[in-house]
Amino acid sequence: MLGSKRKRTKEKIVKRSILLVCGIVLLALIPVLYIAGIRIF
Amino acid sequence: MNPFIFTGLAVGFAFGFALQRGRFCMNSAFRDIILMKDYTLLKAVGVAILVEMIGFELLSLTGVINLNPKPFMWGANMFGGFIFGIGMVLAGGCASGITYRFGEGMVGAMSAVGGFIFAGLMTSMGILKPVAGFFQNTRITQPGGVNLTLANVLHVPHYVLTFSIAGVALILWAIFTKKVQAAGKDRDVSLGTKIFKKGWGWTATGIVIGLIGILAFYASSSAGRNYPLGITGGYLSIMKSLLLGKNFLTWESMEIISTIIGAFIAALIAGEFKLRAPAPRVLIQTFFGGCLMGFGAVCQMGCNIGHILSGVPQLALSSILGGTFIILGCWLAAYLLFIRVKP
Repeated sequence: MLGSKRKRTKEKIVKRSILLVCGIVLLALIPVLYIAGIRIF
Repeated sequence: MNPFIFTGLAVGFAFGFALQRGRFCMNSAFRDIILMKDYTLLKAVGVAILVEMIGFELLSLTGVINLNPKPFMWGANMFGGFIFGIGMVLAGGCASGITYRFGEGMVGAMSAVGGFIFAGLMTSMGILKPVAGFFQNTRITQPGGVNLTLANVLHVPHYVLTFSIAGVALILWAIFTKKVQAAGKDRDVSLGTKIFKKGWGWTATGIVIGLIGILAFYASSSAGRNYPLGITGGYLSIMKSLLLGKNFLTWESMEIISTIIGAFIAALIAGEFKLRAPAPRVLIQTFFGGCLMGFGAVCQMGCNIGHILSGVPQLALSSILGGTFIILGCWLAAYLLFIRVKP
């Protein structure tokens, strides 16, 4: 029971980390692409 | 005939399979919010849109596809969307919902598909064409005929807006994510059983449908169509081919044929296929609902899949407006049918 709860907490941390990293990478891409000269409207 | 139109068969099969396994239906998604305060399917729709937003933008930036937002016709988007929303409540499913339930053997959904095609043809080439034309005369474009998107209206580069929305959405998702639900016995179940026998969760459904949407855009642009998933055009081109005896088959026709087959196979494997016929009164209601959906879809040049699932991720203004009115129509019909207390 305790092991299962620990496993779920670990899964939550992994899910959160993946989502955070993806979100931050996307936001970081914006200035990178802008500096690279992609300014298409 | 472009041989790449046959890639629609593979994409459609996967789409039908995922629709059935995830029970992905926007009518249920929007209706359940006001009827049961249940956001499960809405979350699946949101995840699919999010995945597609990122995928479409990356494919566009690398030059693989050209984004192709639908034309903004405020009259048609508002009126057609609203009628479509009312229709899908009466039909008991959105365009994708009635399609996968067709494959599951639900006769009510078959009747709705019949109404959808009938009114769709009447609107695209029959007596309802002038009515749709009246509402479509409200088209507004950018100078040079470019279709409106949220990005070009705000004069912001498309990728800046897309990545901002998607990035913030992902961070918010990470912050507000709840505890991973205890799955009990499901933890010991094999992957095959999870895919083929058990219903999919909202995250998996959203991600898979989003990925299929991205694949659809790539495959259909190879076939010269250049748009992600759609439903209305597929049904209409099949019927036009049958009625007029000429070949009108497109990538979307292939997609829709195999969507029904994919849903049928998924239901068969899961043991959920069964021919089920409702009372005749319900059959008439679903046919009428399908008719409203067919008119609405042709009037605003897209159903809920063409607009909400495929247009919103491209930030098309037509799809954002049309999608909003689909939801409003759905809520009004759900209120009148299920919530309002009859005297």
